[in-house]
Amino acid sequence: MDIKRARVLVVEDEKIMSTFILGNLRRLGILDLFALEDGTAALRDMASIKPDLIVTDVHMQPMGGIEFVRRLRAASNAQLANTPVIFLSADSSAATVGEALPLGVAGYIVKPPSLAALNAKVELALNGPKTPKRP
Amino acid sequence: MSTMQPVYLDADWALSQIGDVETLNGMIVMLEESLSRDIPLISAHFQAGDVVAANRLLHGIKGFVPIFCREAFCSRVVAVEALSKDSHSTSAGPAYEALRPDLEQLLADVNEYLNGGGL
Repeated sequence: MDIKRARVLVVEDEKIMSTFILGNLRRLGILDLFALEDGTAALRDMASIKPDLIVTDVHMQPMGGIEFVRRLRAASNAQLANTPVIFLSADSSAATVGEALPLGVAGYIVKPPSLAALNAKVELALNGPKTPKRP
Repeated sequence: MSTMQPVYLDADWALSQIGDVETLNGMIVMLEESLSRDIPLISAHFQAGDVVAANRLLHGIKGFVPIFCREAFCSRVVAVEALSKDSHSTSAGPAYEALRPDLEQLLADVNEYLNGGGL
């Protein structure tokens, strides 16, 4: 998929970080963007937004990103349940990363993400790993 | 127009990460709001013994300061935030009070930037 045509939901409760992520997604040419402030709001609106990709913070109130994705993965609608997810967090502790990765996520980026890191993870999440061409 | 040099705010660095001046200026307004509100609030949480609440605010600051500031300053915020992860920590509060004048300097840099009209 051309990432510029992707619909991306950003779940982030910190206003500065949300603005930063949305701005950098726009710099990648992604214009179909939605933003919500926590996992509860994201679960509530997932079915109407139907994002191609979710970029979510980990630590949020009242529902954090890990609980949000855990519940998303258990959704009865398979298309929603399998939505690719990238975690973005200032928490790079082994405990938190270890909790996040088994949820079938496409990436875990430590904040603030560089444009190159965000681009690489979005591309990977939407299109899978690039296989090198044979000579 | 002021001639004061910023100590911690690096607007050129921030612009390189954000991409355009309009977004940068909007984010610096948010930075001013956040620091004005949270710097005293974090002290109040520590004084009340609520390390968890202090950590929540420090965690947010830790996440966004690398957008605006160079690594030496950010690493000090990271160190204090790390201490405050332990909800029974007795060293996080004093460490924050040692950091606080520098956060206030960052806030002064931000106000100087806004009063000077930005980039």
